[in-house]
Amino acid sequence: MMAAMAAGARGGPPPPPDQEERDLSDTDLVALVQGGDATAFRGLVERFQGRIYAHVYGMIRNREDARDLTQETFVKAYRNIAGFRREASFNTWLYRIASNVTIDHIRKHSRLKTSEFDEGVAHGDAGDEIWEPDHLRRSPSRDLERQQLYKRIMDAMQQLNPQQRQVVLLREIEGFSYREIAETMGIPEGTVMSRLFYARKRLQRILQDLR
Amino acid sequence: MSTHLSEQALETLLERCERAVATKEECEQLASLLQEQEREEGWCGFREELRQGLALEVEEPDLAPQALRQVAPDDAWAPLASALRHELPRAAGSADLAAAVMERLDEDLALDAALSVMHEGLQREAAGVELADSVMESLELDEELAAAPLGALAGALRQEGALRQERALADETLAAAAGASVEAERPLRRAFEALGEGLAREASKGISGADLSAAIMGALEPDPQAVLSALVDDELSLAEQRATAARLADDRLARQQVTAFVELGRALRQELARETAGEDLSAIWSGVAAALELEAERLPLAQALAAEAAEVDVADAVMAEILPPAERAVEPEVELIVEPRPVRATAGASLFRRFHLLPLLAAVVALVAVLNVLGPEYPGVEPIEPETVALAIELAEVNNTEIEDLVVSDNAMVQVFQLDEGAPMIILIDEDLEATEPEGVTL
Repeated sequence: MMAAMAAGARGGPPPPPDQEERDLSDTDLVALVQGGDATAFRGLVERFQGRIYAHVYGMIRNREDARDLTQETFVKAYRNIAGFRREASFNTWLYRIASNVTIDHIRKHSRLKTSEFDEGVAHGDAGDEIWEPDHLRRSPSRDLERQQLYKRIMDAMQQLNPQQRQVVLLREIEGFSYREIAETMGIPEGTVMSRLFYARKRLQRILQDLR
Repeated sequence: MSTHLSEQALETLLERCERAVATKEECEQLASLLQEQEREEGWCGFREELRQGLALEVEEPDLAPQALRQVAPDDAWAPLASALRHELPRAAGSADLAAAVMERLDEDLALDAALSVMHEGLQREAAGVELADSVMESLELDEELAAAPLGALAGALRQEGALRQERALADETLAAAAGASVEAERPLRRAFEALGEGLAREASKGISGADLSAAIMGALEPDPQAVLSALVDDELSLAEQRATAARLADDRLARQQVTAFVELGRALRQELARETAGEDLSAIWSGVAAALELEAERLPLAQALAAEAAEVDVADAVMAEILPPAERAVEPEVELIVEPRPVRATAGASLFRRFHLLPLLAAVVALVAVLNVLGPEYPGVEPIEPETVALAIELAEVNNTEIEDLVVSDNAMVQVFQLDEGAPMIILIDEDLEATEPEGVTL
């Protein structure tokens, strides 16, 4: 690919490299990288960097660290890509690396207080009152209140434990299925279901408290 | 019901249970025997006898997989309860976890009620004990465990209990559980062991204030509202969808809950998109390449980008990220090696948009006049349009200016030219390259 870029630069206008990369699937690009074309990795980076950044940012809510961790994710991915089995999903594999990198970061820095796995605490919330968005939809003032609640949701997210935050982001932002989340996080699908539920309930409770 | 069986009769009974052909009465007989044996001799004595009867290896005394096979088609709970009754205390080690639960299991409970009782008992027992990560991690040893009979059984029982379709729980549900147990004895055993280890370990810590059971029961028996969460995610089976739809039709709170879950996701997507909008990630790749020391790729990449730089405005910014410092095209140092080069008139005033060292440029005005006069005599030199000097320029004393330090930004272009020996030196500094095509001397 790089040879094509260089040749294109010397001769007539070549097809833009990014156009070539757009035509390749993730698997194609991974195969190129595994075959020794390190430059093809650039295509993967550019393809996934926005999503990985958003995921990491959602976990730690710090732009600078999110950029660093996004970069670290790709560095680790490159160093381990030889062991990646192409029949698996590169997407979930990459997110798994990103998640590990991010959770390691959180643990090391203790910037966010990582409470113990508190699904139990959340479970206690399960029967509590419901955050009722319906009540916010009928008037301008309620629209405003709703917008304010929206803005608080990122604060509320930071009060979840990292595992809960992770499962919420993978589901709500990335749109992963339970199976994909399970694969990414290395947990059973049933655990994904319960963890996601408890995370949502806890978010509701936090938003109630923030009202 | 006799609890005194001959060894032969016991073996026969155990064999029938093992083959899942035992009748309900036989299962009850075995359960009764288990209870009596427990009272009279304790676990160990009976377990040894049972092991012999089941021809189990002494090293693998686990009862659960075999006990699950005792399940009779039309009465699931009693033998299942017996199995759980035996396994839970053992699994919990020294913790008295199971007693509170098990004391009620002898009652003839419906399956869903029994699960509820078990849940309540676990919660009661769990007070003050922190289960947390370690147990869950143990339970999630590997993906294989997800298919273990424990999960299958819990899932099937949960579904059956929730739907409560009369006695429909029997055959299909328990056959699935029993089948799974045959196929995956080791995962089941591991699940129980892990649970027991985790419980014992956590219980020994005596940490108060946490809820032990939720994590376990969250896996074994999710909160009914979790189904609503899964409904939002389109992760329910068809049967579950139907059941949930029926529930929603009659349950206003459930409907509100579903709406709230949807709204949470929408809010999160909106706010995260807002907070990350416009983020410049252009440096990610260069950082990755540098970290990986992709030297072989870096130079050709730089060359390729340089070749495109004439067409791409961001070239310098990109090159500054990619090239090693020594190779960077623009450095904030001025080396006054002057080489007269033809200078093409630049696009209007843009070249002069930002000038520094105004005193140094004192000669510019004079030079403009020279260029205008001598232009035709210097092929290739085009006069600078008068409007290009429309900006205020202060005059300095000619031949009396020294440059000590010249600081420009990375994307600035510095041009130094002298039309003739002894002629005034002109230094042009442009910090905005967007409309220029530099052909002078770039330092």
